[in-house]
Amino acid sequence: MGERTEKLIERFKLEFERVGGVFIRVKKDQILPILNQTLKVENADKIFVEKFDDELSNILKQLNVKQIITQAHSEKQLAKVDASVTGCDYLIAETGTIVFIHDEKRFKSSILLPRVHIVIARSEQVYESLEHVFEKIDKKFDSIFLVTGPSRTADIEKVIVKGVHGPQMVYLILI
Amino acid sequence: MKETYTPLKFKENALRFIQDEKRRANLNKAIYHTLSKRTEVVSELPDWEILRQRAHDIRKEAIENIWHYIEIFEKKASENGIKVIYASDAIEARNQVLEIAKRINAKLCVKSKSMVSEEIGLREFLEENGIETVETDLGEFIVQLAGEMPSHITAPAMHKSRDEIGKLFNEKLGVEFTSVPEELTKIARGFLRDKFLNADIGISGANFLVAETGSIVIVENEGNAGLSTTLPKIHIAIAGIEKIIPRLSDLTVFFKVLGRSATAQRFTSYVSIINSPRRKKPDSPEEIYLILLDNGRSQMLKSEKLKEALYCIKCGACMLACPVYQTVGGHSYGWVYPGPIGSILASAQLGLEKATPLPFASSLCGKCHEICPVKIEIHHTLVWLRHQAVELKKTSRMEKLLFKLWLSAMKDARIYKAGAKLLRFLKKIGIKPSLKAWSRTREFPQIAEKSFREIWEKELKN
Repeated sequence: MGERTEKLIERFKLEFERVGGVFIRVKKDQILPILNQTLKVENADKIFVEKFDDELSNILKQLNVKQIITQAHSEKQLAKVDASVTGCDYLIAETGTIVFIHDEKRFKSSILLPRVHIVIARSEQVYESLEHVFEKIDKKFDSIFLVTGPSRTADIEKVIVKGVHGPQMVYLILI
Repeated sequence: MKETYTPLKFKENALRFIQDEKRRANLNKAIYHTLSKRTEVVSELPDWEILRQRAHDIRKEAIENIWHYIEIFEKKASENGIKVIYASDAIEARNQVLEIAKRINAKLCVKSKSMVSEEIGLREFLEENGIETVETDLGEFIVQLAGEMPSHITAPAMHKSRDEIGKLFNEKLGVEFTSVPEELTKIARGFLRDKFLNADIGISGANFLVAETGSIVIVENEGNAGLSTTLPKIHIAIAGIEKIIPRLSDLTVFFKVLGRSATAQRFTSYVSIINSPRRKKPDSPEEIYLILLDNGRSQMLKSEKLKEALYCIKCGACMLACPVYQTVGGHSYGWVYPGPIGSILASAQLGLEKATPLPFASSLCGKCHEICPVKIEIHHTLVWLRHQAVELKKTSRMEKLLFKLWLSAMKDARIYKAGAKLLRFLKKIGIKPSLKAWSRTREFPQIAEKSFREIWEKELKN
């Protein structure tokens, strides 16, 4: 891993944690135990898992929860799960932002409806800034969703409360 | 729009607010909190002033070439399947929304935060027409339950205490009283979740419209805008024509200044950049409508003085920084956009006749300009509007007479001397000039026993 990438990951971690995200860096063979532990801590019985590559999909099938949904039929179904496990397209080091390109493989509601959102990313997805990501992407995208930490509000006496309409907790698991 | 809500009642409203110590304390606590946090996140950026200038330049470019960029936007967005509709005023915009709602026989709308929808009174209009319309931003939801107007454009319920909100939820939602913000938020989440899942239409505003890509951009923290624009089958976005920006990359500048200025955040939690309806996406509205609202804006474009106010990205920082807003609160202004920038917008959109007190509701200290992330010279425009108000004969005869006297005294040393002598004489025999309107809230300056000229001549010269 290049020194530059390491620096970007460090910065991402700092910013992501500053906005209230939980950053976990793992080797591929540790994904299953780490995820199991996280889901247990969060009391998540029913989860949604997005489509990943075959290797990762096979690992995720073995998660120790009551119910795994991989094909969501409706948003109502997604509203009932405790946690979602999804991939992402880019990470932005400067602001701790996770970039999702909203296309055929992704439910935007799976990012917003569950109480807990777990994102699995690879270290080559980290970019320095949004400028770099905009340069990289095809401008003909359908939609983009930028997520920086959990859902939050300060509407009641400026007290910060997490998990208003979106997730209360956002985990980023970096392979 | 509520009937009683008018800028003409500014003085009465302001007096009432000033006397309400509890409200003032709520407001000042919230303002102080945001401003100090803002200073922290702004001072981290050594090139803040360069960023502001850049933001100003982009807004200027967009407004100076607005029709050109709107044309590009409309072309791109239509190619992507977004239906762009132009509305010249509030009535047209409201009717267009209603027409869409009637066509699909809509019963329930979820709304995310949009000041433009407040501007056209959309929620009240839809409710009058039998369509349940629910605000989903927590602050807006609170204000809707209370039957009030937002008191700040990004923190609509900042005038309310947690106890008041607890009581409100207890009365209106039938839940047990609590004043814990976490609990109150949870109650709102549960109540609104149901609405999201059953809504026929999602209504949103837009923070930016990107010409290059035809994108609708919505910035938020709670996730309610993300849900409002994803779950219902129809999404209707309403935006003022001034929201246009030329390029996608321009967003990177605005995200840096907007979050910091509006809520003292480095980056807001969520940004939706929406280019198209469903197509291949598994969830998303089947249809997206964008209503481009004029409502007085193209008139503003024709005025060299007022045009600049359209650079505004609606962050609300000028309100927090304004000593008048800090004292009288947002509701006193009687218009959806309060504070310094609101005084310009109200004067332009309602006409000076209906907004006369507002340009005068400023100390002209320039704090609004200093804090503005797009460097609008708000205070200069307010002075200009005052001049217009004088031209419209909106000032009293007495005020005019006094200023005339003052002017002649300033122009001629003899008149000045004679005037000063007269005032000193009046003071000696015990007559004080009565200028109640001015001296009621200010100390009247004391007239010295001897003038400086006299002291100089007799005592200091040698």
